[in-house]
Amino acid sequence: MAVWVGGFTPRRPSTFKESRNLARMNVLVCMKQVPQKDSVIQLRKDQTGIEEEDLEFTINECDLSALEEALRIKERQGGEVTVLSAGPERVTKLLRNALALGAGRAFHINSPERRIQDPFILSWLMAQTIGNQKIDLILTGVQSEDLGFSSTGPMLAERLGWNHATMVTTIHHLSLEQLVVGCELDGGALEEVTLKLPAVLCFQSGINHPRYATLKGIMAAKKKEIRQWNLESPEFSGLKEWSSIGRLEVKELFQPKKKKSTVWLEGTPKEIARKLVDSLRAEAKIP
Amino acid sequence: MEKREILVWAEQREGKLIQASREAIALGRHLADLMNLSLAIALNGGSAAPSPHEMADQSGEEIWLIDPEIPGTASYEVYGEAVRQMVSRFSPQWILMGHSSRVVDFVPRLAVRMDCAFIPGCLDFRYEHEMLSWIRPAYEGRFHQQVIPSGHPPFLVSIQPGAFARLAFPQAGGGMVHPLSLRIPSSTIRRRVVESSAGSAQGTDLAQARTVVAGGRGMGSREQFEWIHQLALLLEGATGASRPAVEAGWAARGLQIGSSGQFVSPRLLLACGISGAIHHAVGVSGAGCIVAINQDPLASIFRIADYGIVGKVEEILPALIEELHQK
Repeated sequence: MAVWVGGFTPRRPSTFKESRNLARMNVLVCMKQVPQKDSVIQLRKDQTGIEEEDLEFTINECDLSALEEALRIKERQGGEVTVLSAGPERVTKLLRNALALGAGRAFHINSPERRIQDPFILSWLMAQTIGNQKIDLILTGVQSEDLGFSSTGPMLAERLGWNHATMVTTIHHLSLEQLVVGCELDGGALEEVTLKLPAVLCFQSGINHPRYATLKGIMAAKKKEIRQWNLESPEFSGLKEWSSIGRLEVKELFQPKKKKSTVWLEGTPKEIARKLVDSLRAEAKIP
Repeated sequence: MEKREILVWAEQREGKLIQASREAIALGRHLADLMNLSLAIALNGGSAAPSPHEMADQSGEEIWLIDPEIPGTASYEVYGEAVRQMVSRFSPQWILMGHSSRVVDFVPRLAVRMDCAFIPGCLDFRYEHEMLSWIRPAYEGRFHQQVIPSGHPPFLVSIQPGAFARLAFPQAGGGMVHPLSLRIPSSTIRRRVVESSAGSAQGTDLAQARTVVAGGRGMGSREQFEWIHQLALLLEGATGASRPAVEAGWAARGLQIGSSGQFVSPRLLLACGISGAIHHAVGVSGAGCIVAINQDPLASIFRIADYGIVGKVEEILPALIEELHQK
């Protein structure tokens, strides 16, 4: 019978030989840059994507939670935090932010190609980049706020032959021998998952309070290295054409039709309140 | 080999078919008729009510009951292997699933393992020129994207709960149940449910409430979230919250509405400072009249609103409270 996790030999954690108690961890955090929440987003005329000009970008919220967890692990147990992101030149701003927050180094897969947002391609690029790095643990968010495939983390784990847990809210225990995390299930149920390193953990947002950058951190970040890859880098020579790795083709991005015809209430707050209460009373929706 | 072009992977929880799986079965039947394809349903969790036999008898569908049942605490390795064995048996073109936390956990891995497309969280489909494509939300539901799978089948698709509630559950009558024996590997990952249904455990009557007043990130602060409680009291309804409001600590976790909280179906829903991201929208798809108050006229909550108010909650809500007090 076929064995599910096979074909790859999971790499031993790099810190395996060190003291059990010390458990220094080299943690990599995968992050995505997404449009700022509540910003007004316009569709491109050709309906292939959004208009990026004049748009403010920020760190995907649950990726920021993952970075916060990584920084806490480093502070508690020692080790190194590396951040990795893919996207166009603007992504260097995200990486500088992460470095200012306390990450030690940053990796950038620099490409303006929209196709790299396909989680099949993105997870492949990331796996190739991580390939020969000494990493024990990869942290990322459950999903991005823009496309929300919630696939890249588990796909990356599969490509590396590592374990994973998703919808993680808490790390209960982290040693070189064992990792115990708390995860969410549908309807608000919680479960505990026990797995071995190396592993990929995908975090929910709102599980911690991400720190703010200090002036000292911002200054220090300027001296830190951002290592760059592009699609011509030798690591990616296996990507001969998009269709060899990519499995999703986005045909069109469009404004969805409204499901209901909305009655818009306008005027001063007092007038609006009166109109609403009158309408709801007339329909016997409120006492 | 018993070829079935469409395979529905149906999940049961606590002895009940989950809503998204119910809709996946209805969609499977709809697509099978539309494209003239054969359909099989793989059902996990044998002790359910209605029993698989009752379900087959009423729906007229062919149900393959997974035996032995895969426990809810099994890891992604186990689920992935189960589906792989089904694929080698039925060689389906399409595999339809409800978008559940289980699916989010195991299907992306399985897709890479099989090198097959996975289109998660779909809201609709299009069938044009004999080609099936899928519609899924993007940018927190403000836009939709049309996606087609590439590469070789099977193509894996998961659907949002509520997205296909319009399709009737099949009722042709006279279906069959077959045992589906799978060799389930032992897992190296242990899972254990430590707290089930945190939401309902807190004793809120949110799910049954006839009126719900819900607040989101746009409420701005814990103090301003108090207006939600006041309005709920005045309207004799229950208080709800979107995930960001719960995360900010303004509302208890048990009040969360949406895919990781509760599903509500009140006659009247007041959505205040809620953008209407898909995780929340699926939780209110059963609501009757929806009143949305948001300062962003493009917020996706307005797509499902009967009454729309574009404005600041700190201006509208106090006025509304005063108006309700007057009568």
